[in-house]
Parts: sequence; structure tokens; C-alpha cells
Amino acid sequence: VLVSYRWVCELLDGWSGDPEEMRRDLTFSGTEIERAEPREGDVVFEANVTSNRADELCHLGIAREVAAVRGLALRAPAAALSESGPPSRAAISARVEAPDLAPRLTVRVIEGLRVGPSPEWLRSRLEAIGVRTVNNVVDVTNYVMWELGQPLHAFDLARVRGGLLQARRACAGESLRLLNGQTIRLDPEDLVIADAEGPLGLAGIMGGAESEVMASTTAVALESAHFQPATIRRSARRHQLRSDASHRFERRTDRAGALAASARAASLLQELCGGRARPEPHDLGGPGPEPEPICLRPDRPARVAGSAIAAAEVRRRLESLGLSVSFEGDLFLVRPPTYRSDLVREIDLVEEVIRLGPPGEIPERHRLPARAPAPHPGRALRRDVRDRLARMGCVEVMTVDFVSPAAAEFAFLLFGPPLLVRNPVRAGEPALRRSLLPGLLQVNRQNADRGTAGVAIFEVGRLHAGATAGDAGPVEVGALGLLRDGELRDLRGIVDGLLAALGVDAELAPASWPGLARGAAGRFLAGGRSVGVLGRVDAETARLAGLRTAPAYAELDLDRLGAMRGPVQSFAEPSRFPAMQRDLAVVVSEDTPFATLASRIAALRLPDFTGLDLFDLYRGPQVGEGRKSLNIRLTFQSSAGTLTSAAVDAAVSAVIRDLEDRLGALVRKG
Amino acid sequence: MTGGREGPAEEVARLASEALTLIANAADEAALRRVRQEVAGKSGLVSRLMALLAAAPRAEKPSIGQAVNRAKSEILAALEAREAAIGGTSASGGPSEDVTLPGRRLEPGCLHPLTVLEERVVSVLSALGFEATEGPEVEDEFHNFIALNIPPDHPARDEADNFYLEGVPHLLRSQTSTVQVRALETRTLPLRIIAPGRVFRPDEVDATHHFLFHQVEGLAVDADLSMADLKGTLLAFFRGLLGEEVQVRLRPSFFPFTEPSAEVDVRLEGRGWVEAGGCGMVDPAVFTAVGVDPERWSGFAFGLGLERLAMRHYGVADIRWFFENDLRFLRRLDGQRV
Repeated sequence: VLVSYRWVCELLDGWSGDPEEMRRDLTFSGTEIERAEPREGDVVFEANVTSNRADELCHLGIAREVAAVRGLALRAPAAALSESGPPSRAAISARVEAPDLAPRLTVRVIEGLRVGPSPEWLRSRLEAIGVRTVNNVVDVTNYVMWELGQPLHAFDLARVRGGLLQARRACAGESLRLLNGQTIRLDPEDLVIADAEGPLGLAGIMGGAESEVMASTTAVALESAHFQPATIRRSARRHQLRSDASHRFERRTDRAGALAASARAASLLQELCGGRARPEPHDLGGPGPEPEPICLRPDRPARVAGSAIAAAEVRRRLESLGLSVSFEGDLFLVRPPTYRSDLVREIDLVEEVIRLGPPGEIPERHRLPARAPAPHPGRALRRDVRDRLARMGCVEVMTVDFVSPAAAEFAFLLFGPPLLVRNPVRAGEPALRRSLLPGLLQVNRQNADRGTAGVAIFEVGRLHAGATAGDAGPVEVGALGLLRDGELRDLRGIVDGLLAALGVDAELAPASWPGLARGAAGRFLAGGRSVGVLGRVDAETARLAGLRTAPAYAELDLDRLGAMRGPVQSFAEPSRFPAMQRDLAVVVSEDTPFATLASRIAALRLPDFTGLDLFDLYRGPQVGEGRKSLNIRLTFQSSAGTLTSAAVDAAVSAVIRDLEDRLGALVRKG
Repeated sequence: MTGGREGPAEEVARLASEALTLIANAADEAALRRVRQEVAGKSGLVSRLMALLAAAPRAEKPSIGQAVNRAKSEILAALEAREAAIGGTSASGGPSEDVTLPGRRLEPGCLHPLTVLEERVVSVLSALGFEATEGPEVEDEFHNFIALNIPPDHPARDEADNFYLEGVPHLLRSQTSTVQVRALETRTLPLRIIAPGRVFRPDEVDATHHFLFHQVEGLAVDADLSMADLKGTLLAFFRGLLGEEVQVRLRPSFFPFTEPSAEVDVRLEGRGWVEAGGCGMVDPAVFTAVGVDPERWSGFAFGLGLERLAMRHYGVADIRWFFENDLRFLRRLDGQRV
């Protein structure tokens, strides 16, 4: 809120500082002054009043804080009210139909008003803090709100029908034209101020156009009330209306202060608009109960602060805030004023004492940690995954969790229904991702557009879905997504390297997935459970993502991999003897997968056979239609001694025989 | 060899000048190749120099050795210089290579700057005895609000300020304080934990706001913790993170789940104070909500936003860069000191 420095000064007795000092006083006692701007002999503060401090949404509230910090007295504005004529209730009656929503309603009648422009001092004061001036009557009600924090509303008495003002719930089908010209349909949960015939204003939020004070107005019914904060907040939200009044009512106004604020406004109306206030205003509901006294152990603030604060000092600080403090045995019995409804518990008082302490009152205490913390297994796994991928040349990215409903259809690891947020920030993206694929496709596309494509990118993030069955809650999975342009084998190599590093033994079984090309995708199985997928993104998905070529994609379930992660393997010494390698060109039919060939060779259990690698894959006229040449390299090595060529040749011959006999392969030595 | 017997030193000088003359006189590539053989080959002049050294009397070895070494490096340098001058011929005599071709760069992979910074924050806090822990991003209202002293009808629960989900009583967590609650529910006391993670608030996206950001939240619970412990911990943390000259100050504020609450300001030498996070003593209501006796236990909590820290650290003016995933941005920040 905006605060006028000069206005605050007027409410203080004996302030001798400058604006910068006041700014510091406020900021370091909990009311941050974010900005201070000079304006026509004044300085306007932008105060960041925390949501628990409704009492500070007015100049008196700010002045109270300064007074507490500086030990000053306040100069509260006097209500020099001389009432005359018949009682207010002879001019109008008042009723509260919904005491739960309107605990207090006061109505005072002021007659003989001459509506016109406000005097210069009043206008400039309101304008300084950004309040639009209207006419002297309305300006007075605003002025008192900014002075004391109590919103007020003046109804043109001549236009209140049936001589009745009442606070009641709206009826279904009722509508109301507001001061801002907008017409709203009222909800039965809205609280309205109505006359005998219909609603005149949306209580605590905005008055209606039909009863607004105009140039011809001569008498007003001045409403000053206390409304239940939640009601006002819900109505304001329901109708998307925010006003200075609702801002205050939502945060809880001072019920006990409503009538005094009304008297203050009446006295100003007398002074500035020639009005005569009628005596005996309506006061339905009254000031409410006195605040409960709070027990405070005098040593409590010192213990919470970790510094010495004597009981006498505790008492002094509380009293400087206008709290009354008495002794009750060993305890302080503290009575907060009615405007400090935020003070209810002992800890609330402790906070007041500590925040009013001088800078540096709280020392810095250093205690050594009692123990070294255990590493978090999930975080350790993700760190290892990230590090390994980065070392293999991959770049980590971070995308947002929100995707379009269509993109939320991609799912490889969890299959409950997509979750949707009620208020998406990006139109068309209300769903939570079930896969990292959509985000990575988009990143790939953007970087391609910027000329930085061709890099493997990955993201480690959470996926979300609803429960698959029963009434279990939403499901969350920690996943790795990895996307790379180019051959599937290159991506596979990265994933294999990663899985090997994690000590997880997984094999890839062909499987089909929406989003991945048919016949070019598979599922990683480890210990009989699926731990992820790998495949070529299908052409249509790539095209929709704006990509010219379809990249390869893998997604792994890191939660599951974490649970499977192997123990630290003790070091097995590698052989110190030379390795021997033999290359073979194996021509087989197109439908024989490499895995078949690999498992044939493995089944031979060749002595000292240590590895099989594919170093070339050839298709062409030399091998003929429907066939391919798998060029493989066999490695042999013994840890007992140097192998002889004869022994290796014998093993290779066995391989050749087996592949020719069992796979119908044509094998050529390289 | 006329005249008197030549001493080893003279012989070194003679062989050296012989070699240098040969090198200087080589006119073309072919001649130079032959000269290389004669000079640096198996039984060339350099080898003869070495043989001289081997045959020298023991007493003269140090001085002869020096002379031989000097001569040898002079000869080899001259040979290479001549080869370079005649050009085109590498030492091995293979075809020439264009050494001005651009290098084929190996781009290493890299981690996201927020990951790097988070790891750093976690490691400093770990040294202070805080254990990293995590909680779900999709939370229920108990953990996100009720247990954090945010009752129904509290403005912080406003529909417009949170990402509530359709059809389930859950929302995307608006703060990592939810993890505090989970830790208090399940762990034994005392404890010191930190909870790094994503949080979500439907803010309008601009240069300094995003609907998604990362927090690191810390919580310590023990029998007799005070704001002095909180301040000491924050000071130790920011010094560990930013350097020994850092100053820390607390400024009273308000959060529903801590009381007293404060903003944390830090100052680096020669710079102004900047807001770095929020903190406070755990509100007794939070303890009560999870069945911890607030008379027996006390605690402090603090939280900081990673993006804000990263923006200041790397000098990034717009928060959107962190989610833009422009590889040039990611690489630029990679390897910077954190």
C-alpha cells in the first residue's frame, strides 16, 4: 500500500526524524518500505504490509509501528462530533439477517450535506497515495479508511427504499449494477446491503450505482460494519472484483473500531460538507468480545531469540505496541488491543518482542553438526546418471511439467490418466507430462531453428499421472529422457553405457509404443521388469513437433533403476596377456536380427572368448537382395597365458560352422 | 687429419660444422632427405658425436658431454629449420598436411546450471550436517497447507494462486516446506534436513517471475534451537557458498509456517544488500499438526530460490533463460565457477 510520510508524521507526537529514518524504522521492524518517492513536499512510501497485519493498512497503523520503534506517543485524530436532531433510527431502520457474515453493522444518518469538490488539502492527500477523488462526501469516507483502516460506505438516503438498510444473503436471481458500471448476477452466498426492495451494494466490496452519492444528495446513511473475512474474499473472487474495502475486510477489520470510524467520518462531513449528524446510530452486533488475554513466560522471547532480553525490556516493548501487560504469578498476562487480531498465542507475542529488538540483538551461534548426513540414494543415482551422460557428450535441459492434452498421451513408464490443472498458465497446456518426450522434442526443434542441433540432450525429471485403479492418489515417477538425432545405435550405446555404469543388466526386447516408429522400438527388461524404452520417434510425431528428421529417444525409470542398482563390484583384474581378434563377414537374410547371431555365438561357450562387436553393416549388390552382411569382430583373451593362433582359429571355425549350419549364413573371414 | 693429433673437443667442433654445412647446402627436398640420413641416420654425424663421448677419457667426460649435447641440439634444430624452409616435407617424409585446417572440436556434454548450483548448495549444507531429502511434486492439501498452519479460507489457498488439479484433492506444491512436514511425520528427532525441488505458482511469466522454480528448503529440529542458531547456520551457509566476506542480516517478516519469521539479506563486499530467502522459527502449530510437542522441541527453517541465486551469480537478467534450453546458454554457463 501507499503511505504518505507527512500524514504519518501528523499522527505521531514528537517525530523528529527524516523520511529515510522512518523508512529504516519500518523496514527493520517488519514493514518493508520497498520504495520512497518524493512528491510535492511529501514522500510517498510503498509499504509491503504482510498478510497478517490488516491493522497496518492505514496511516494510523503505520504510525503505531513507528511509535513502537521510537517510543513515541500517538496523536489520534479527534472526532469532534456534535449530534443534533432526532435519532438516526427515526430516519431509517437497520437489520442484520446474516449475523454470521455481518457480525456488526452500524448506520448513522447525516443530513444537510452540500455535495461538491473536496478542499485542496484533502484532495492532494488522497491523490498522493493514488486514490481517485470523487466528491467531498465520498472523499471523506475514503479519507477515514486510509486514516483508520475502516472502510465506510455512504448511501444516498433519498434513494434507500422503504426506510430500511439490511445486511442479508443475496437471493437467487438478484442482480446489481455496481458503481463501476458493471452489472453482476448475485450468488446466494454473496452478502449484500439491501433496502426494502433489493440489493444496494455488494457488502464490503463495492457499492451499487443506484444509491451512490450525487450532486443532488443532501442526506446519507453512513454504513460502517464488520464482515466475516472469508465471505468477502469468496465474493470478491467470485465476481473478480477487488477494491480497497475488500482488501481490508478480507484481512479482518477491527470490529470494535467500526463505530468510532463512523463518528470520525461524521465529524469530517460536518466540517467539510456542512452536514448535521443525527444522534444514536444503529449498532447491530456491537463491538464483540474483548480479546482473550495471553500468557507469556517472561523468559520466552530470550529463549527463542537466543539472546538475553530482560523481563522488563519484554514488557516495555509490548507496551510500546499498545498492549497491556500485567503480572500473574510468574507470567505476564498480556491483553492485545482489538485491532491486533493476529495476536492470539504466546509465540505471537514472542515475535513482537523480537522484531522490535535493536539490530544485532540476535547473535550468531555455531554448533557443529552431530553427524555426517547419509547420502540420499535417489539423488546419488540421478547425480551419477547426469555426470555419466555429460561425460558422454550429452547436454542436460530442464523443461516445464505442463503439456497439451495431446502431448500428455505419450506415456512409456506410467499409465494412469493424465492429470490436469484447473488454471493453466499457458492456454492449451493444462496437462502434466507423463513422458519427457514432448519437452525434449520441443527443445530439439528450438535448437535446430537456432542452428545448434545435432546434440544428444537429456532431462531428469518427474512424470505424473492419476491412479490406475482404486482410490490411491496420483502417481509420480522420476525419469530420464534422452533424445538424439542420428542412428538408433548411437543412442543405444549411450544407454548401454549408462546401464553398465549403474550395474544394471538389462536387455532390449522389441515392443511397440505410440509415438515411436513401428518395428523400431523396444523395451528394456531387467530382472523381468520393464525399466524403460528405446526407439525411433515416429515420423508423424516428429513432423508435428516441427522436425525434419525423426530423432531417437529413450526413457528410463530412474526410481526402478535405483532400486535395482548393483552393489559396488570388487575389482577383477583384467588379463595382462595379448588379445587376439578375428573379423568375420556374416551374410544372413534381412529378417535375422543381430541378437540371434549373438546368442548363437554365446551358446557355443567358446574358451577364452571375451567379446563380440559389430563394426559394419552392409547391404548391397555384393550380398544380394533380401540379405545383409553383419561384419563382426570376435575377441579372445586368456588370463592364464598368450593364446596360440591355432586355438583361436579352431574357435573361429566352430563359429563359422555353427552360423552356416544353423542360420544358413554365408561366412567369410575378414 | 693433418698436423698434430686432434683433441676430442676439436673433433666435436669439426663434426658439428661439417653437419651444419651439409644442411645449409641441401638445395631441395631430395637432397635434404639424403642429408638427414647422413647427419641423423644410424651411422651419421650425430652418432659419431655420441661415440666420441663414449670414448672420451673419464676426466674429460663432463666437458665433452656438454659440447656434444650443445652440438647435437644445434644440428637437429638446423635440420628442422631447413626442412621447414624448403617446406612441404614432414620429418617422416609423408605427404604434407594443412595445419591451418580448423580443429575438429570435441564438445563435452554439460549439466544444467540449476543442477550445478543445486548440487553446490546441497554440498555446503551437507557439510553443515543437513541431509538431503525429497517429497512429491503433486501434494495433498494437508501437507501443502493444513500442516503448514494455512487453514481453509486462508488467502494463500486461493484458487488463483495455486495449481489445483481436476478431479483429485491435490495440487502442485507451492513450496518445498511440504517436505518438512513429511520429514517430521516420519523421522526421529533431532533432525537436520534440506529439501531441494521444483515448486509451482501461477505467476505471470516475465523477466523475474516464472510459474515454475526451484527451492532449497532447510529444517533443523532439536531440543533447544534459537534464532541465534538460525542466524549462525545461515551465515555459515552463505559464507560457504559465496565467500568468507559475506554478511548476513535478518529482517522481520511473515510466513504462516514460521514464527518469528524473517527475510534473509546478504551482502558481498563492496555491494549492496540483496534479499536471498526467507527463514524463521518453526511455528508451534506446525509441530502440533504432525504430533511433535512444541514445548519439548524447537526448530528453524529457511528457504531460498535457486533461480534468483543463479541469476545473480551468473549475471542472467531474465529467468526464462533457465527453461529456454538454448544450448548456447547452457554451454556458456557450463564450467563457470559456482
